[in-house]
Amino acid sequence: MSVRTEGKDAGSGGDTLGRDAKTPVLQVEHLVKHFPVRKGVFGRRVGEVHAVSDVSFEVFKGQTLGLVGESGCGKSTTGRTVMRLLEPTSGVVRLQGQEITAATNPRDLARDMAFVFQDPFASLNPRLTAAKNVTEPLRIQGAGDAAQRRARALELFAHVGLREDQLDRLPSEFSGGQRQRIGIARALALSPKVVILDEPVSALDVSVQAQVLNLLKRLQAETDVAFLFISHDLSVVRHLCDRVAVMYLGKIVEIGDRAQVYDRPLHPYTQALLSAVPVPVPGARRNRIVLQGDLPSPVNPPKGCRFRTRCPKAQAICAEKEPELASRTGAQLVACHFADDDRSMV
Amino acid sequence: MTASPATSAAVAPRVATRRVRYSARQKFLRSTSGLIGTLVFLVLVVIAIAAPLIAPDSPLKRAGDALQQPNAHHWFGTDELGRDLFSRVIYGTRLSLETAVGAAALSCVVGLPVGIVTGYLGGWVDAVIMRVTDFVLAVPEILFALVVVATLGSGVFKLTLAIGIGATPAFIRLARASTLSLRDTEYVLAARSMGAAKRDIMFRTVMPNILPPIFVQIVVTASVAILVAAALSFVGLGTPPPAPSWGGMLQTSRSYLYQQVWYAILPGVALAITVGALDAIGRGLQQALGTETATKASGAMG
Repeated sequence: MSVRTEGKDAGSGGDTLGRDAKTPVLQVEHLVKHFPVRKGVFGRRVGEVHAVSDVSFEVFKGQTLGLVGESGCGKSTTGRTVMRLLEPTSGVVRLQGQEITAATNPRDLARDMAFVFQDPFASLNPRLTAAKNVTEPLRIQGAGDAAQRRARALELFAHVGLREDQLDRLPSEFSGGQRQRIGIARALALSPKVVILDEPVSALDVSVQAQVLNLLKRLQAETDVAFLFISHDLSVVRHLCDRVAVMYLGKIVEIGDRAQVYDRPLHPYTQALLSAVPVPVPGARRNRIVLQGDLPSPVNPPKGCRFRTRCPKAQAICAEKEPELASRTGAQLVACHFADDDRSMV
Repeated sequence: MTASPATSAAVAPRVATRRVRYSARQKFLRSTSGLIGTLVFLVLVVIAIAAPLIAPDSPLKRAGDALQQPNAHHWFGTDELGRDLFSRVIYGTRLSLETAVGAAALSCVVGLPVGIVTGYLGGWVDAVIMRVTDFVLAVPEILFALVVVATLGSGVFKLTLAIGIGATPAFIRLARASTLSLRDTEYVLAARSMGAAKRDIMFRTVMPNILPPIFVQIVVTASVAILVAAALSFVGLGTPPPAPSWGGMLQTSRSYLYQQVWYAILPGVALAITVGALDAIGRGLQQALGTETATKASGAMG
């Protein structure tokens, strides 16, 4: 085992006794991911894309943290960096108290953390049958023989609502929703503690989205797995998540319980996002906050508060001092100088 | 595009194609050129294997008077030494196919893994291998084979080796390009997220998925190998006499065009049929696999 054990968690024998829902299974602290911008024949480094800048959050056992934000805000990069598909520039990721480092064997990591991809048409190996795709994690771990793996595939199929006679079909013979079920079954094959879901339903039809979301809810209730759910769809996040983190330009601007964030958003960006969600009531009025301008370039993010260039509340201090992500009311953290300036939306 | 920050804009809804899909094999067998090419090629393989049973005479020994016209005893006539031309053409099939299969197998067995490794790992390994590859590619295949044969000396094995080495860079390039296009697909990322070792990803996840274009390349290489072998034999650098190579027969026949015109025509026809069959197979494969690779290439990331 190359996982470094933290002092306080020295007796980590995989016992779950004494761990309640308040124990974070996944802790992300000050995660930073920069991508170099290269130019010219020799690939001179001329700058950096600040894709993820100092992101911290925790995911608790049996719960779902939703990570929302618009395109290009760094939420997918965050997920991929946590999964070590990308090497972080700096920051610490702890899984069950154990720090994941560059020396961590990916195979050991895969036993406790799995990933579900966005595009169900691209995330399954087209040359492997559904059963083989689902049990790839077992094969890689060297777990079980062919018969045992097949038995596990059957079990997982039943879990995600697929039929036994579909085991030997190729991915191309399934619909999008079915393929995403296969992808979810694959993620659960090793009974991980955390599953990172990167926009798992955004490529699906709305009716199929609901089915997959309900499946995820049921699976979580059954297995107590924790989800990090990455999405740009606020209503989907509201449906599934216990807690919500809102990202803007590589930073978390607000994080809190679902009810708090949705009912009483404190950050102007969250307020603007929520005001843009259509209300399914005919004739209902809503005060839309329409943001001006475009998302600034993450190569050269604004000094001070990153949201100030589009913020309706921006003052001089916002350009000088970067607001800290701090508590205003209990568990709800918000990064804004004028967050207490209460303005209930919707 | 792993390196791009999240692009999660609403993904265009992708509708599953509901129409009946034929497997690549079915499509291949339904294409006329693929089917005919395969049948002809199979006949050639049978001829090559069963040459001693089919050929009435030895390809190397005198069987009658020299330069006879086609007749009941010698269907294709005889050559300047009185050897039965039909027997020589039959045995020539064996020689040609040996070179073709040998060269294609050699270049594929070397080129495919090298291309996958260089494409997947990238970095300086990639840079070095690609420059060497470019160097070999810059020299025309026939010239390259000529130089190798001139250096090593002639012989069937050396000829095969020369053609095989010359054809390897094409495999490396193809395998590398295909690997590059798959390296950041979600199912390769998925394999990484499952903790698969690099070797596992390269040869269990990537390799089976890049085989379709490789198959086409194998067939093309085989057909080019036959032509290059014939051309080298024609200029006297290929299979040395008295071996019954089609190229060598074509070369000798030039001196006897007025006495025995079939001497020149028949090896040429045999050559044309073989290369034509391989090209037909290649075309059929391309048709059958083309659509499949097109569907596979679709896919965005978020």
